[in-house]
Amino acid sequence: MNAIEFINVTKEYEIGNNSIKAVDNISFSIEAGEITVILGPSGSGKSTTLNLIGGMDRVSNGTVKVLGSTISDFSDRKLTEYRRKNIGFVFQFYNLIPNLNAYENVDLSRKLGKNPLDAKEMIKAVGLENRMKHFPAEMSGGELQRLSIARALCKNSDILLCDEPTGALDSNTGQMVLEVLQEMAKEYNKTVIIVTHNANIAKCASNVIRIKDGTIQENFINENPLSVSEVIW
Amino acid sequence: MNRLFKKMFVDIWKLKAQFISIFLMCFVGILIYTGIEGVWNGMQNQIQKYYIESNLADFWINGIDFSESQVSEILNLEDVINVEKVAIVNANIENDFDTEVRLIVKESNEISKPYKVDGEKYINSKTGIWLSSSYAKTLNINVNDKVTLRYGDSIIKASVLGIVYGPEYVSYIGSSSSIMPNPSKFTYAYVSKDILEALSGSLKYNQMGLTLKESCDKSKLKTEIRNVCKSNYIGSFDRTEYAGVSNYINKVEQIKKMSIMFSAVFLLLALLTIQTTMKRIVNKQRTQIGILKALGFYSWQIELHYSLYGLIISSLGAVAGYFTAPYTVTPQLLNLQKEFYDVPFWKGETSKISIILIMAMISVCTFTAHKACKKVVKELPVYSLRDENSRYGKKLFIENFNVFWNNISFEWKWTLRDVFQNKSRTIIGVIGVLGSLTLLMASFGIQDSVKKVNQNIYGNQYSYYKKIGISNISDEEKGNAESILQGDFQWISEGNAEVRSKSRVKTCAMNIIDNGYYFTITNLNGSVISLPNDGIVISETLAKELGVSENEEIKIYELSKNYVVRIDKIISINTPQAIFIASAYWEKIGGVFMPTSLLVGNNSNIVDIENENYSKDVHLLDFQLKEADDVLRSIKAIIFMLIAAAVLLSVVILYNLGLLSYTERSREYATLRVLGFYNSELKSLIFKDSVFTIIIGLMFGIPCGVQFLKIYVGAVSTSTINYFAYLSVVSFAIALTITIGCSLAVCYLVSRKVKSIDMVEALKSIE
Repeated sequence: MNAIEFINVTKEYEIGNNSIKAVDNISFSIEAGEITVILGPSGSGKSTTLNLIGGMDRVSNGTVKVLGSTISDFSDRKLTEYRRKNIGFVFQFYNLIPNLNAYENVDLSRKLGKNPLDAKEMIKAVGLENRMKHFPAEMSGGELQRLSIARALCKNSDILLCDEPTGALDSNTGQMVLEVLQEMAKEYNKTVIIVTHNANIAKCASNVIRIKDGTIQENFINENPLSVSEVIW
Repeated sequence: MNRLFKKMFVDIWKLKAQFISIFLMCFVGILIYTGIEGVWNGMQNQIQKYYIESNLADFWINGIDFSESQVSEILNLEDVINVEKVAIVNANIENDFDTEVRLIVKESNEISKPYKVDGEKYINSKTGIWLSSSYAKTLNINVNDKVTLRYGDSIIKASVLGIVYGPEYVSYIGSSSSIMPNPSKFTYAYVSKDILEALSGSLKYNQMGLTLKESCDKSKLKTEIRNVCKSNYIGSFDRTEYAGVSNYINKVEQIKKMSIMFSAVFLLLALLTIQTTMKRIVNKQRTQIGILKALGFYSWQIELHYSLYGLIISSLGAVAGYFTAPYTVTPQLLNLQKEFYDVPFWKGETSKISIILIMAMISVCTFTAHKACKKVVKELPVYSLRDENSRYGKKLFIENFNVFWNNISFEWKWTLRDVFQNKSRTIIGVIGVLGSLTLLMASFGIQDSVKKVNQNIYGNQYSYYKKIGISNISDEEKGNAESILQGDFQWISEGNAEVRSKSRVKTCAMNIIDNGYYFTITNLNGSVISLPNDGIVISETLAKELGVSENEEIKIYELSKNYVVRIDKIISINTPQAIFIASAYWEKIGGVFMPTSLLVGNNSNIVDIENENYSKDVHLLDFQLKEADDVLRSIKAIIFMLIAAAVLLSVVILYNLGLLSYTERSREYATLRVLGFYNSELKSLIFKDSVFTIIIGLMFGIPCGVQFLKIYVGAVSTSTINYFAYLSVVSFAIALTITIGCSLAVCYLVSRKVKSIDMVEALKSIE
């Protein structure tokens, strides 16, 4: 079953008198429960694609279907509801609330989900049980990103969108974070979409979409995705 | 540097809301201060000019038929420079209003010279009359017109030779029962010797105007004058005691105190806001400072660049305020004063203080901007290019109270931590609310206090229906009046007396009160004071001026007699600041009780009394109350302006802080939007932040407002009226509603910004 479907999607931005196509008539689909990597260099349109899946931006043309609903037709309020119930986000720069401690940051997300998971359990699951009362400023980059994953999972949404989740981390920490992400996605059966420019991450994905200049260069199924520890970083 | 200039203008445009708020604070702060200063300083300077030009007397002696030798003796006194004899007679001008006119003949016209507006200069030898400008204007009388004067049975037609201003009659109300000038009812005029002689049958000089040396000891002078004039002496007054002059001086002082106190608070709050805003603007440019340093700009160039932010905006605001005030605030307020005072020169004038204030304001802005950027400029570029990471979480003390902390929502946890983490922002927000409420309470309170005092005087203290001015009433006439009124009356004598305490001599008001219930002395608490039969009661203000305390003895001089009396009580009273004596006690110690007014109820027989020859004028209590309330008009515009400033202050401070707070949190709001928060939930988060500031601001604002009102009212009290602080429930509710309303409206404006949150921003790195 397709969790996400892009049908002839175009996204154009007006900058001054110029029009720039960030995404140009792309179509693809993503199966539920698989890890998909959208790969591409800077400015390729991968983040725009993620924004369109996440309901943070609107298409100029085409249709985006998520979990059977055509979200490209949604109103602003419905899009918010869609993000609230169906999408978990992992940001490149964590975007945790600095004034809330680790537990409160995760618990905040729990309150948004329709069938949320226990916040403490989630924090434990990402290995931060000793950091519950710590504030983001007191944690390392790897810990912050694990906490961010716990926050995204806690909502128990069907889809996890990860924007360069290892982009701000060193390779060891990045690897550790990806391990957690892979493990968690498997355990909780989530559809995970990772946007990255790091080709190594693609080796762990079951579906790889390579984008360049707003168009899909390659979309292939990886029959034998590697576990994160198997990848040479 | 050119590039930096360009960058500065781009930055100013980008941060226009913050810069506009700084501009507005500088503009309004200076506009208000300079505007009101223009009024009182202008009034003060112009009156000085007028007094110098007219050679206003420093001292007046009232008496009966002064002789030439007495005038010479007074002139020979050590501190006296010059003396002029003046003859004054109260007569009437025959017109629809039967105006009571004070006719003045000046012997030499060297002291207190009338200022000519039209016609001829005053010369006492040229037959005719010189009318006061206010009267001529009110009744549309011109030079060469004729007026009919009446004194008793004597009637004379006089030709108007000139229209003048009398320097001693700047605020001439005519009767002690009048509250504000009414030229159609009471006026003054200068006449030639022959006219006064023909009208009154003789020319008797009953006043002397004196000019004195600056070093003059007035207490000593009063004693010397008394010794010279002996039985011809009634009383003597310096400028602070002479009502026609002192009322104006009091009003200038009142406006001065009001504006200085209000402006001080306003400017303090404005400077605080400017300082915070400037600091935050520069701090927001931290990474840009790092980039400029990395590019190779010298530290002084960067410091100059950011100092110019403060310098340019504050200069524009302050200078605009300074130059706008003389064309807006000052003339508007001066026009209101013109109604109350007979002065030929009206011109708004600012003083050096305005310039000093502008310099201070610009300096604070420039210095703050410089200080904030210097701190960052000192750092190595590698550090300033990094985010300052100022927004870090910190456990609060109240988190130890688990029951409370665990039961509040994450929004409140976030808000409380944010509030305590950003102490200076919170304090400024609290001060904004507090300051606004304090200024509003003071502005509304000053109106309420004046109204309350008026009601207290013309309602509780005086409860008659009509007050009839009496002169030269015989015992027989008095008896007849009493029988006509069938007991429904009260006689009082309102005059002046010279009072000598151990240390001072002062001419002050003296009220001798007969039995009755139309004049009840009530102190500020509203309790009724009964007059003793073995002593006197004295008002607190006067007691302070005389330096006396209860049970002390003072000497009262009245005509050629003097009386030693014991002060039984010192009381706080709104007005008059006087000595109060029971008529029975006065007569017991040998005084003669000569009533000057008859207070009566709504009696159908009053008309009979009013028609008697001894009846001078009639005042309705309701009309007196209306007149007293009308005086409020002269300060009402100032009060409204202050209210507007208070509102602007709260709006600017809160909007500015709200905006800064919103900008600082925008990434967090964007993240929450991405996570699925509805706009309404984000708005509620913004509201919670403001609610905290509002509640704390109000908690401190109410006691501050009460205290400030007390000080404010105390400051505007004059030597004749003692106001007490009073704020009605309605005014308090309005002040509270305006403060809360402005705060919430600002909060609503800021919260509307969540609609335009760019969620994609949340995905970007922190710039």
